[in-house]
Amino acid sequence: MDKLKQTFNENLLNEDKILHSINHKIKPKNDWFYHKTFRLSFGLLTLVILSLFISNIIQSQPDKIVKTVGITTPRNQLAYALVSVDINPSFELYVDKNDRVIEINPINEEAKTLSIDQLIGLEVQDVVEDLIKQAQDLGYINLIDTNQNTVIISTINYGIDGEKLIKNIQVKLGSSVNIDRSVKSYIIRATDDDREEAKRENISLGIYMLNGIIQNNGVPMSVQNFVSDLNNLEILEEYAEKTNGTELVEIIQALINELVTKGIDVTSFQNRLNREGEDLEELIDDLKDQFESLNPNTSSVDKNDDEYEDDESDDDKSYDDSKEDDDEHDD
Amino acid sequence: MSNNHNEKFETIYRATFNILSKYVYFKVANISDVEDIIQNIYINFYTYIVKKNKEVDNVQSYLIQIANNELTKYYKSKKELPITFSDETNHLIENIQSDINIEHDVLNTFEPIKVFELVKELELIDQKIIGAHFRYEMTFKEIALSLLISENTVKTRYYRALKELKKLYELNIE
Repeated sequence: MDKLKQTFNENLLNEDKILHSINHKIKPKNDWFYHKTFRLSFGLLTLVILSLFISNIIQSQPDKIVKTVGITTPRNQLAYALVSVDINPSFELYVDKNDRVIEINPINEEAKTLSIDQLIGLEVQDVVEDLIKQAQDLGYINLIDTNQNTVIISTINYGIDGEKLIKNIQVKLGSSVNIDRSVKSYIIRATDDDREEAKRENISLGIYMLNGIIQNNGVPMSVQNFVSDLNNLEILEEYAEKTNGTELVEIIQALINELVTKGIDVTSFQNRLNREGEDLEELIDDLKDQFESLNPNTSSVDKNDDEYEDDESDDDKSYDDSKEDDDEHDD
Repeated sequence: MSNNHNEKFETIYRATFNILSKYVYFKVANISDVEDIIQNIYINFYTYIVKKNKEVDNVQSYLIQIANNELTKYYKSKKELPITFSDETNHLIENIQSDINIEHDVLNTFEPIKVFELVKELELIDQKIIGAHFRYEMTFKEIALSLLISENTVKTRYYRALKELKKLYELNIE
């Protein structure tokens, strides 16, 4: 009797397990970072004095980050959220109060090969989708190699509805028929302090966040190297924002609506969505199969090859499937 | 999260988890959805109350209020109605005598983890009753009140469910 009760306690709504998951979501910091910081510090007093000193310097700089409401962009605009996209290429997207991107900061050389000007003024979820699509078309995402099809999206909220922003990105990416299904996106919440630390370490926010969730002896790891370890991937799965039932339903509805615009009878899909116990992820797959069957000769990878051709800054560079370039992307 | 916030949050979590999880458990069919909703409730509480150093008069009532909001969102997104169960037409207990401890008959011979897995094969109402009894150690009367059905129905279904589990277990090991 006691054994059975114990088994139920351990496996059904376990208090400790749920607390652990909650802590993962509300505590983005990591032990690795703290240990490193403390190792490097000369003692608590020195750290406090140093922090005050640095804080004074930062306050006098034009791109000072306002802690609670708003952040000043590199071009001195006021933004209310920062979304970092790490594929490699990596970008920082500055978002206004209406969830529209007002500035895009390419933060490495690869990022400069993507076309970004036309994305200003669009909603952030559309911009994220477009950047991933461009990266996919330019060969930065290797659809066959599971280590090179991962996208890390880190968000910092400076005064807008962060939940809504994340949800919009989740729904957009989940329902995108432009991005290949093998591309995996993970959304991580970050803080202003994380961004400051990432800048100090001279790495992108996404890389900083990834390395924050594992112990790697203080050596920053690329997204590709990170996800090549299955244990890391497992931790990431737990750590990242999950697409829950609410978002899945919205993703499905978005896909169904898109099919309606193409004149497809969606009754069976709609019925499945309304049916209790339906496997929603399987339904999404079936909907995407339906999209693919509409364009059987067009893969998502090559259908827009020409679209960005003119925007490539380096004309000598071919991203098609060059191994050399893949190696470059690793860093 | 600061240590103070952390400690305060965990204290409140530990003090309220049982009541809150039980509340959601009886309102949502799918267990992983129950877990998600409970997480959302506490994350919401942490974000808007603990982290901002706000105080609420009655934490438990506040959490239940958040739970109701989360449940409304959930039903809307799933296009489902809250789960309800009705009493059976025949309320008579089928010759069940309290001195015959069928539980022991079942439990003494079975591996607990297998029984736990087999519970998922029972009807939803029976899953809820068995879960409530073993996980929350609720009495039949308490379960009846939570499911808004009669105590007799709970008893009947409980013992039937044990018999069914026994049958399933035996089929499973054959």
